[in-house]
Amino acid sequence: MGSVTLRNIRKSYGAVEVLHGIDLDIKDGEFTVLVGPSGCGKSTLLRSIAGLETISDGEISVDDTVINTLVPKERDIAMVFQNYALYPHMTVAKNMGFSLRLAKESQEEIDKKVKAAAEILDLNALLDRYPRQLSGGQRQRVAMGRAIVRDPKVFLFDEPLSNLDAKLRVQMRSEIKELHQRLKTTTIYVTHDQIEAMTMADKIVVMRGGHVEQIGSPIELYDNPASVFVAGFIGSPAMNFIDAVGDGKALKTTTQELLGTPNATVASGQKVIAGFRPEDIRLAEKGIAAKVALIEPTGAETQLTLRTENEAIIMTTRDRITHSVGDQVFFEVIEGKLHCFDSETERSLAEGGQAQ
Amino acid sequence: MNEQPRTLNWIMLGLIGLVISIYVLFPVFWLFLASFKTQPELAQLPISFWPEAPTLEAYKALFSPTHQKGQLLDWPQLIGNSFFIAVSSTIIVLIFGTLAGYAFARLNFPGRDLILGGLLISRMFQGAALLLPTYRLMSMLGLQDSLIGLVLLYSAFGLPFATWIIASSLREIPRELEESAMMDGASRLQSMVMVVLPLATPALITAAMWHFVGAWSEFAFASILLESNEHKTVTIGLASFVELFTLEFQYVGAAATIVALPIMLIFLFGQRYFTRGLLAGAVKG
Ligand SMILES: Nc1ncnc2c1ncn2[C@@H]1O[C@H](COP(=O)(O)OP(=O)(O)O)[C@@H](O)[C@H]1O
Ligand SMILES: [Mg+2]
Repeated sequence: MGSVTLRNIRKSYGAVEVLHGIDLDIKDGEFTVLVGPSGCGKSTLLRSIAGLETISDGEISVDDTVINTLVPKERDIAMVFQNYALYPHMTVAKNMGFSLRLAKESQEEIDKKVKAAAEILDLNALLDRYPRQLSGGQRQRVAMGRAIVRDPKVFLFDEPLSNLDAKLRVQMRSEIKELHQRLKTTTIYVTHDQIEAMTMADKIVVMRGGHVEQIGSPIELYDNPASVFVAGFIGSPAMNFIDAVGDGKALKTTTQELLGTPNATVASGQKVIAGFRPEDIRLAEKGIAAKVALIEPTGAETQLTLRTENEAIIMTTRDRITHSVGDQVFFEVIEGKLHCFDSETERSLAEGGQAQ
Repeated sequence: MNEQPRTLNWIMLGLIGLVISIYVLFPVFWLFLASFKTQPELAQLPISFWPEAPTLEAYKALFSPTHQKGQLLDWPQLIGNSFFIAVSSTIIVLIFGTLAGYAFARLNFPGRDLILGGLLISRMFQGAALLLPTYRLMSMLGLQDSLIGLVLLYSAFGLPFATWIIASSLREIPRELEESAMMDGASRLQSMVMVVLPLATPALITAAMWHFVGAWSEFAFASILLESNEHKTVTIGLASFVELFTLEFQYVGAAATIVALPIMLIFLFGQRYFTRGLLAGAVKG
């Protein structure tokens, strides 16, 4: 068991508050990803849960037991660090068994558990090596092995893949995900990479400037972003945003071209930010006029940059493109895919968008 | 490309090094050779370089109480005293230097960097200026003519530098290692002993060597603080020998060799760590 509850977590360094009251409920066994730009407080939050930082206010509970006054060793939480933090003077086996040794388990027991973990992570052949004799991916696995031998209530990961090259990153991503499906241990995973968040998470927590911006499943965040920030952060290439005004039930661009009916009720004349994803627009006989500025085929898909009077719009399509750069075209937003956000608060105007 | 000038540079550097080595080491070597000579050979002219009939007489005399000239110079006792002082104060310096170094490297407290810098400055006041005040202080504390007094004094002198070396090297050890140990269930002390200190071994060895050598060869303070014969150290014994045996130089040579031996052994076996430890401190201090 390992459900995690955060209530109004605040953290200040001196006079500077970096976490402004975080609330979060994580169910037992859930894979939760904290995602957000660098400096938004992800690591601070994770380290607070670990007990490596003392919080200034709020309450952290695991399984309904308040733990924020406990030292790390009493919390039954394991953490994988960004730089792995393997003990350089210990072999892989010693690294993995270190926590068990501290817990005064018998050597026999330690050997058994280390072996079992090594089996899972395919580390059997490396048990007698030292960390300096391992590749980046192997070190990563040892760091995970060190966490899993303890069978803790919660795993914490702080950007564990950021030191690996792109290909290895994709591979380790699936390995971590598989490991979670096998062990079902509650996991909180920090990353600044939205692709990692989308592919791995049961639940994504988007953070910004020490606040939680939105919490939801990957698809929820993708389909119903609660703010311009989330809409722009999740998804690649990013959502297109243009200024628009309400016109009856529909939205028009500032140059009076019809965008379509948004996912919210907007008053006539109300200024909003309209948003639509690159894959949610298509070329049409009529619609918004634009010039083709750039064509970038990637094989399966083609990415077009369309230049309207005021903006550059990104569009992706699986259709073969017969146009060439400079052609005059028209595009339209697919029915039901038009988002709209308050132009002041940048929160979504759709139902539920004001929550949080 | 400019391979030739570079080799030439190396040869030049090597030659200069050789000349300096000979210049520095020749008297030492000559003294060493003298310890194997006989009295007549030392007195004869022209002076011989290599001993004509090498003998261990001088060493035997050193370790048997027959040889005195009215003054009791018991070399086994002198060596024992010096070892006691050097080893005890090295242990004290290591223990307190490690604790203090850890605090300077890891804990946040007001004035931390200022105090660490101040520690180094305190080293600049050592020497003759401190002799009299120290003597008075030790007398007031009833610690003159006591080995313990000297142990405490040397520890106090040695701590700043040891602390500084250890703190600099601990700063290079990533914090995450300790945090990781704490997540693994270690207390702060356990993470220090089981993770941090093993990684700081070069610095610890450097600090220990540095201090041991300093304590072993210290003369000025020992000579004014120690009075009774059974408390004297090797450096005092050596100084007396120089006065007593102006002609019987083989004894001085033998004594000097004995005094230098531990230091040479230490450098021989510890050199690797010594340069590493000092460098670690030098890169980021
Ligand atoms: N030890 C510290 N002292 C002061 N400020 C800190 C400290 N650690 C982090 N911060 C600040 O807290 C904010 C959040 O940092 P962090 O949690 O590391 O962000 P993230 O992991 O999301 O990149 C940043 O503005 C950072 O500068
Ligand atoms: Mg971070």
